[in-house]
Amino acid sequence: MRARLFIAGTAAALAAAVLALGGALRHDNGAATAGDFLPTAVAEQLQRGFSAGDTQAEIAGLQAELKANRSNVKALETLGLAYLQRVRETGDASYYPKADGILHEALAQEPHDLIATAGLGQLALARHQFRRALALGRQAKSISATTAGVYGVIGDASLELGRYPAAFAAFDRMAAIKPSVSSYARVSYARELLGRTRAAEQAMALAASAAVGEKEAYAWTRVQLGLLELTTGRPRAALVQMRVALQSFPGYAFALDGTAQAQAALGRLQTAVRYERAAVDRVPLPQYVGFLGDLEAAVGHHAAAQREYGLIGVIEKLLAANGVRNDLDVALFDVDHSRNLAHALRLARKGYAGRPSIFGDDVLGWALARNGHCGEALGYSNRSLRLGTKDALKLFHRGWIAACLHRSAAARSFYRRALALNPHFSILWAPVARKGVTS
Amino acid sequence: MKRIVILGAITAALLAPAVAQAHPLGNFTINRFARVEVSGHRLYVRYVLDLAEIPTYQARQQGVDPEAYATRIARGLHVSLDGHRVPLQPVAHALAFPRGVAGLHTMRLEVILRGPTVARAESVAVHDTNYADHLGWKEIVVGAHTTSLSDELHAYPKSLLQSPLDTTSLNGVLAPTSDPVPRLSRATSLEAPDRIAESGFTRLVGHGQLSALVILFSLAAALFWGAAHALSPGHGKTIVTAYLVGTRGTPRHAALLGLVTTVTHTIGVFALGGVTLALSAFIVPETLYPWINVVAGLLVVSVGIVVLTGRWRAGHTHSHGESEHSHDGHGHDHHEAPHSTRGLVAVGISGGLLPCPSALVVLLAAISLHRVAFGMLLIVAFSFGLASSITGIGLIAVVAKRAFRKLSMDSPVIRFLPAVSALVIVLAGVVMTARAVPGLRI
Amino acid sequence: MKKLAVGLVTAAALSGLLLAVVLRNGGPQAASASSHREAPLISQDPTADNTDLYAFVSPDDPTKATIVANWIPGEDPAAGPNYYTFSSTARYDIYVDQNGDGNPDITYQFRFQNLPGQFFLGNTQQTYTVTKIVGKRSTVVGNGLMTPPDNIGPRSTPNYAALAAKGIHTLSDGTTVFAGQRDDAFFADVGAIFDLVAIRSGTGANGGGRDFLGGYGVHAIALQIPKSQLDNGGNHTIGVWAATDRQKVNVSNGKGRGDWVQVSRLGNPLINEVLIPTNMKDYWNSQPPSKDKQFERYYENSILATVLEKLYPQFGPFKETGRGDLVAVLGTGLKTPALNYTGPTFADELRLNLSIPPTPFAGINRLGVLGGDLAGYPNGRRLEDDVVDISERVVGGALIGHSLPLGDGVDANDVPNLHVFPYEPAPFSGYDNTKGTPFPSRP
Repeated sequence: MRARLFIAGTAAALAAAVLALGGALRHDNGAATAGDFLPTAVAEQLQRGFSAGDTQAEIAGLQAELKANRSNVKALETLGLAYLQRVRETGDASYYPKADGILHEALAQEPHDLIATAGLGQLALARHQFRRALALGRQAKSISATTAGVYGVIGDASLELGRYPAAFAAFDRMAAIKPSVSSYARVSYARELLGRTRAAEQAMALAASAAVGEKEAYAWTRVQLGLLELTTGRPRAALVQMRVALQSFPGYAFALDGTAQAQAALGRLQTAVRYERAAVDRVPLPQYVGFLGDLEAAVGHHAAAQREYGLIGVIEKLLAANGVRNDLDVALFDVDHSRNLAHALRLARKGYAGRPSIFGDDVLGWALARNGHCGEALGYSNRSLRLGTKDALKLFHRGWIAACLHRSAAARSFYRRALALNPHFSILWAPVARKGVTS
Repeated sequence: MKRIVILGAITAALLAPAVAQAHPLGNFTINRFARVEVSGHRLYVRYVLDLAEIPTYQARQQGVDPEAYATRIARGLHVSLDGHRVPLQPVAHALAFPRGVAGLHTMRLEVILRGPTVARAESVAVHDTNYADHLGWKEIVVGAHTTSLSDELHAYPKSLLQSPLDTTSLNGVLAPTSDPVPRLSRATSLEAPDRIAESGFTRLVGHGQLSALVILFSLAAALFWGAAHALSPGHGKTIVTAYLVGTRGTPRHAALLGLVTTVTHTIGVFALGGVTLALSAFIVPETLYPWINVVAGLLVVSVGIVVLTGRWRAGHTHSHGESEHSHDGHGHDHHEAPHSTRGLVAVGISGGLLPCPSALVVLLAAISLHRVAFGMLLIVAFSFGLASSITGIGLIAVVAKRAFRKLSMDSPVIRFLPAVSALVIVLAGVVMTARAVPGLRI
Repeated sequence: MKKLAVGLVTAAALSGLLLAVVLRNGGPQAASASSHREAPLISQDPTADNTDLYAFVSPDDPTKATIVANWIPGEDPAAGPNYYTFSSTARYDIYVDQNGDGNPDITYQFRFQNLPGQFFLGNTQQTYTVTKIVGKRSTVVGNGLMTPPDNIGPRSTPNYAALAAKGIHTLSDGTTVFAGQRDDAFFADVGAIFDLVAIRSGTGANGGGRDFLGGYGVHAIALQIPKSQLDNGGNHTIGVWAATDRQKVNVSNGKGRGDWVQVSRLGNPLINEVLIPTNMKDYWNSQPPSKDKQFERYYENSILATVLEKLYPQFGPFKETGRGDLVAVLGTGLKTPALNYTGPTFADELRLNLSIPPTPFAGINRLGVLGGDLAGYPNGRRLEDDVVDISERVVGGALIGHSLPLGDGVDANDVPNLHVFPYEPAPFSGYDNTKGTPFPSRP
């Protein structure tokens, strides 16, 4: 009897313990803490003001604040954005998972938080998860339709998904709410896609002017201005922009790459190699590595070129293992270098599914053409030009496809247009285009 | 039972083979660590270089000559004593190529550099110029016993509040010591395959090669992991226990519960995986949080109410027949069968479907690695482990309840225990729902 | 069976929850992938950012009123080669409302032009144009005026005081103007505000705080206007605010090209930072004060009171809702005591009663009206007014019988303000920059 009572008692105690440990009653998100409040909001605003362009200092301050008070949503979301900014500045992608974790933490505490939602949208964009980015952008818009930034996320995602009217409408709305470097730059890109290079330059100049005081953003706008100069065959002007960018933000990988492109267009290949190598050392994006290989090959360093091309394979493996959708870039490289053409086509198709933009059209069309499916390629190539984008490489691809289909007059015409736009559009293909025009 | 499960889980964790993982700081980082210390009267530097996959590939293409590396490192590391730069001489090195992600390797090079003698306490200034333009963890410490934040590039802090360290210059004071001469790492420590303390089920799927042994190990680990996972909050243990106490639970019921849990959990994860992949484009999951919680809460409430009303009726119609029917423990529960089965299924579902992210992570990781079948297999094992835990808890409850049942029915505690259990279920559900409701945005 | 179905539906619903976890944990770790054009999204626009606004009757010349508006927060004196200038593509506005309707009656517009060599040569001088709009009449009252250069250092900009003095001009309507770099006259212990624990440890009224803005510069536009041009002859009270506009663009370059859009504004201090919720900030900044009624609830239910409740429980309870007193101070002016009431229209403006004589510099009370000095905040705002302490006390209930010695422990600017136009002191140079330290020691 006594023993049984003991067993019964033990069972009851066990049940109680399980209950206490169990999930149903566990909750720690009780009363709001002081950190949710406003002095931090004030400080954060002021702090942001002070450290404009000094992201590291800002990050350190926010980390210290959060170590003291982890439930400070304002600090969490600001830190998440600062991490994202840090990736822009350094290319150090190890900040992505951190930003992800921190922004989700903010969102877990405030499910309808604007900054965290938009920040995650921005992160999704960076990771090429465009559909998710679009969803997050729309969610952010439902939280605040009067905040310009949400239209940036929506527009960027729409753009990469090939939904151009929606993207342009979002950019217009963004610029109407708040003209700023962010909205000017997007309007500029849209204009560039529409083939209105001059107007694109004007908008980007406004962006640069509105970015004064934000070093990385300013450098970025200068790089974009330089690239616009390059696409219209003005490498000297491009070089000046890149120099301003590097002066504003020393070691900026985008500017190093841009400098290399401009130097290559000017025929200074050795200098170009030096700059591109510096860019690759900082951030080995596949397009940088590929270009470096091409440059090495062009100056006769074939062993070095082969090393870079080998590195592309490594990067490809890593990206696949990480689940990153960079298929289009890798496919473009493979197709350009006649590596593994069938595989490249599969990659291009996969990439196209995730990113059905004119870039996707172009790469898929090019991959099809180089695999001998020129008829099918033609449709994609035409689609890639549907906005009227003045992009010499796309025009060249279109010409090559025409040649493949034995339409030599059309081919010559497209080659001519490509070269007229930018005689140095590609270290690999500009010579082919030149030959095509004369033949 | 619980102890066995935990023991099992620990064993599994220990047995689980080291898993190749991507470099935690990104696959193109070059990470540096320098410890400047004094052994006797001699200054030494222990320098560690940890290259992620891309720089390792680049380095190996050119051929890795550790001597040349050591010389270069010694040149690039500026150490000054009392303001005067001192020469450093490489005296030993160790090189390893730990496995990285995607069949690639990383590289770990350790170099011991010997400096001049230190006669008395002197100020030291360290400035590392090696790989200045490369991203990565940059750490310098002075003194043999100073803690390294990264454990000398063995374990990078995972904290969301820790930026990659960026120390390239450091000042300190050094004095003669009786410390031994710094040594190189060996074996596993040098190979250092796991740079972060990330233990968990999810890494099982990331295996480089799948030998039969690896698969077997993985399955066993998944099983144990599931079992352990059931003991973490949120898996309906409370509800299962309360349910079995509240109804006339038998061991067979407990087993059935386990089965239902396994099945629903497996189906659930598969379904969720599919839905997740399909819907990720259109829905921002965070907005669903509150709704999901509400649905789960209401489900639990309804189970509780069903049990409660059952008890109520039972209490009135056969308050004295109970013990005759179930004392044998062989499930003579025909008169209760319809309600019991439904209840069991519902409880099983709530046990099997309450949030279990690890399993889904595994599935999606498997999909992304094109190892869907393996991932599914792991999930079945995981679910089974989960269910066995829940069944175990259920059995304890059943056994305990039998102990009660043999007692005199006159005790009010015993009489009301089932009703109390049912109330507990309802209460738990109400609390879950109430917590979820304020988050709803309609 | 039905339950099973319900369970599966639940399962589907749960997927959303799990997705969150998946995307957090299962997503690509540390990937390097950015080939598409990632324009900045979170960049600030410091050159368009209004930081502070002051309006007071000049103590050294009571026939004139002075308005000082600051832009570009936290200018680091040693930021070269990234120097600071006004934006050549923005429009800077100072508005004066004479009749309390929330609409401007007098507007001063400033446009700046860069000189060649700005970037590489570090030439930070700019020329500017001032346009005055009274009613619908627009007149250019200053053209080709020159800002002084930034204070870079004794070699680039020797004898800075003399250089800066050359930046004071007289407009064709008799107004004196200055535009250029100055020391930030705002003072606050941001560090202490940031660190809630520190501020909690004391009431903050005993000094000992650290002026977080010490050593930092701003770009200022200062106007000294004859009172006769501003005074409405009735209640003598004007409302002042400053704003920045940028030009709209659109993708297709159609309608609306070149329209100015207001991207920043400032009337009373700390409103955008403190009272306006994140979701509303862009919108609030784009709106004119005449439409401020829509934001009244944020002023009324002051979140700051909630914070004070947390920070200073020993002084509570603080009134957290129905704060008509705050609405009055910030939105209409104070009727009782009669100070600067401009009528029932709720509009975020800095209200200055021109008929209240200025307090001589020596007699200024940093707590303004709360300290019995009617010539200070919230009657206009002087450089010396301690708006952080005043705000904390007003929110704490100073006007509704709940007086407390709240404050941040910083009671004055780190360097003495000037007693002559443009009042804000010269900026620190990049050469002897001392940002953040309590008081600079110069060589």
